[in-house]
Amino acid sequence: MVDPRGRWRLAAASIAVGSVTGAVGLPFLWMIAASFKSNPEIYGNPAAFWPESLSWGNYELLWSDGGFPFLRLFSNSLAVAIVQTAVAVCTATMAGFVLGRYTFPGRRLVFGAALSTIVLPPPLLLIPLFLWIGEIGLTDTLLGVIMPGSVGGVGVLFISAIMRRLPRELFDQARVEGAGEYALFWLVALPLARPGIATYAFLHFVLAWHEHLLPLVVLRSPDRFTLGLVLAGMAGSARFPQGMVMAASVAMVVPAAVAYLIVRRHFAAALAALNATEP
Amino acid sequence: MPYAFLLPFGFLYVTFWAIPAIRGLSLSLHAGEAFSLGPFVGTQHYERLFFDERFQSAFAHTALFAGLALATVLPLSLITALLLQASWRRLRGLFRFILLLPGLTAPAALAALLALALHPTAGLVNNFLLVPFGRPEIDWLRDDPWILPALLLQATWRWSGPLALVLLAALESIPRPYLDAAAIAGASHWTTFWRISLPFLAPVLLFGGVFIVWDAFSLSADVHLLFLRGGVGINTDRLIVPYIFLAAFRFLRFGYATAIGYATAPILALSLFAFLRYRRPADAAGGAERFAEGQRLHARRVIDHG
Repeated sequence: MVDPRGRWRLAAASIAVGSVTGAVGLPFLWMIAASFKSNPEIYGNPAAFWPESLSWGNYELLWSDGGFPFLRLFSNSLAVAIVQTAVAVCTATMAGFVLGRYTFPGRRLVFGAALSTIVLPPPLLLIPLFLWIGEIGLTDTLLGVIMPGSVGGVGVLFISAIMRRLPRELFDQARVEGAGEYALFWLVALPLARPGIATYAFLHFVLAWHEHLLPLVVLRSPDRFTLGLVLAGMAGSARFPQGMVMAASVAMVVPAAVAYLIVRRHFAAALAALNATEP
Repeated sequence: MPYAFLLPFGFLYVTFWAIPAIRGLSLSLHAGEAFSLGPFVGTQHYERLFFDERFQSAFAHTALFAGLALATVLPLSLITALLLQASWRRLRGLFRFILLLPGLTAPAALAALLALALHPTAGLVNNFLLVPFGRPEIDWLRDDPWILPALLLQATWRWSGPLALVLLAALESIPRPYLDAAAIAGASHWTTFWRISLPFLAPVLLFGGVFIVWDAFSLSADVHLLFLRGGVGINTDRLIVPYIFLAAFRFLRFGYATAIGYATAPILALSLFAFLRYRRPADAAGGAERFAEGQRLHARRVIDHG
């Protein structure tokens, strides 16, 4: 780009974005810095951004089974998030495929069902859900936390929108070549819709990973607790060194970040497919 | 055949949403004190809600919060997305990762962070922005008028970045022919944006809006529940979900608590309805071609009128 005005625009835009990004990243940076501070350091001198010395104490506290069985909590959370995501994605993909490409009696009903889960989400449905979970004997089980969260209403809608926009010709072609409906799903639709499905899976995983309301209400025994739940209990509380809380928070970001890196390539493709107007 | 594919979702939906929802409806029509169903009371709970000051306060605050969040996050994300599109390509990957980070951090972490930053005596904000200028320290998390701004800060930090990324992807997926046509016709940046880009972005913006409203009424409650440790009574008149919590687990009034949730649902339904109605009117009528045709005419008009 030789055009000087263009160069100026590029620089200006980059600086502007840089500032915004910096503002967004700053609290995160502070979080990392605080995870290396001891309690008196955090409260004592707010003007100091970086710790005097890098004390790994907080991370050690995390690791030692002492008061905070990190590994256990981590694995619980991971189990919940992964299973929940897997179930939601599978069920939503199948339902979305059918909803997006076939007409059948009751189609509107399914649509309405998916919508209803958005209108009355678990936080608002909390009490009936809590009571019902108790009645079917799933209180204090990880399953009790997983199941309500695997109702992927949003996923059904999202994936059905993607499926609907897939080009007809490919399906017709496959049918001509003798493919049955199941093959159409498995061999034609799935590979094409993969970016969108990955996007939804990522979103669902992150939300499930952070979930703390449902675990709070369903779980009783400490060795079943999830990371989101325990972190929520410790945040801002004087009973726990906030430096350790920061350390745990930083550690919690890692799986989510990993999930993002895995899914990164698919994001843009998914949205482009959704927006496609050319048939 | 379709039904076989619907079965798994259907099963989960019925077992873990429909049944609790219907039973909840029945519960909200009964006294519902302390784990027993109690006598049938009809719409008494809902009527009580209407006059309940706490509910009114919680609802009003949540709605206000949602509105402010919309007004802050949407423009901010849009501007950031536009800037991103114009920024140096090499840096973009880094920018995008950092912007996504807030969405990846747990609400609890954010609450802890805010609790520290907004601490009355040791917090960054008070110490950098107020005391040096001779202003008194503000107890952000407890003093009345400041709780909403704190919540707003949290929501903005959390969602502006990710939403900007989504908008960026949408911007980059606008079909080039339209933009090229406008450029050839000499349309200014502003005109191009206003008449071509924005209509394409509208569905995404609408989606973002619905999400923010949804977040205000369900997720942000998580953050708020953490703000005041043990001060459950003080701050439950700020957001809906903490109030549900209070009614149910402190006072054991399950019927009433259920009614609170159900009474709030219509708001979400309304915003959802707005989204569905306006996202792709052409699509809803079944004419994707009509939409494309409309866009072509649009572009033609822009070219003709510059």
